[in-house]
Amino acid sequence: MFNLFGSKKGNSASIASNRLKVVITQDRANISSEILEDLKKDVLAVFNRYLIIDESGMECLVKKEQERNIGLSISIPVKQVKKRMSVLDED
Amino acid sequence: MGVVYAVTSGKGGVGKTTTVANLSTGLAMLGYSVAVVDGDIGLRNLDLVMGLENRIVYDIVDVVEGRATLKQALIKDKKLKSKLQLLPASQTKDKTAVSPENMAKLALELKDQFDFVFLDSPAGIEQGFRNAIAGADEILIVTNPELSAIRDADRIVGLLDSYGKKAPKLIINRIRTDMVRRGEMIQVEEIIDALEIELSGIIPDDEAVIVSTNRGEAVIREEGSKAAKAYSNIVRRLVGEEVPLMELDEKNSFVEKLFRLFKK
Repeated sequence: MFNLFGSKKGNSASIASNRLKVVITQDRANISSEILEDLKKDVLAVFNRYLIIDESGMECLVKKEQERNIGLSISIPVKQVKKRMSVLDED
Repeated sequence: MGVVYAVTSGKGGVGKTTTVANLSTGLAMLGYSVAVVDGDIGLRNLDLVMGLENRIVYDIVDVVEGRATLKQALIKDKKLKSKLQLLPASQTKDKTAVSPENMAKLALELKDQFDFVFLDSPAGIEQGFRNAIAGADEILIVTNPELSAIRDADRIVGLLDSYGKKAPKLIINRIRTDMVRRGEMIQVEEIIDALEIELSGIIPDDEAVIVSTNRGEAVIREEGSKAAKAYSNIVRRLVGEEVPLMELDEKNSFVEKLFRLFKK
């Protein structure tokens, strides 16, 4: 009652609300981590052809969008754009 | 031609059967003819909640397998001048004894004779659930403010969408106003935001529900109880009335009453 031990009372509803959002987003996305990893690899391969990127800084985020849709947002830090010539060289 | 409602939830124990008993009783009280079907084969309960458990002769499986006619199997609720009739589930048969096609055919027959038909779905997303939605024109999802129940409700919404069913509506059961006020229970708006479906109504947690169920009566007949008011609101919405959402946050402590007095 007096929060003697610093226990946080009176806000479990907001914790519940946040956990609900996360779990529902994950449920709806229904993307297995295996598929997500494969997708990341493919995306990186494509980006690598055109850009010099920081692979370790890649972030993959599943978001809730309007009307029960799921958004997948991928962010990759770009260090440098490869020169057109070098792109062609690789082909 | 009547309308067939399936009442489902995903998670068990959230109040599907109680909801079916109350909405159907409420509609019968208004003079509509209503049939209720217990879709929980092997675990029948609707008969008990409605106080009709001693009058079962035939059940849904008997009808589907041709041992009884629908008319023979339907139990008339005499408290409601037979406006309300129950088709009980079988207690002994396997849940695969009725197929979605059987249920759809049954629902069609029933809505030919009744203004409203309610199919009480079992918990889960297996055959019993698929049976219930196979015959339904409208779907009501029951949940309560617990995370697990809300999550399961969302699974149901997703499944219904993938089956190409009309968008369901939501009933949120067992809301504890005191806990919501203290910030210890998730709010109605947040549930709706998360599930992104239309709200059909909210039911406060009310002891009267248990007391009525003990007696085999629907709480909606217990005029004056909060739950009765809440169920009546949903019933009125089902028949097309515009009813504002129930004000659950009644200030009921003495201090709060006093406070309101001063505010006037």
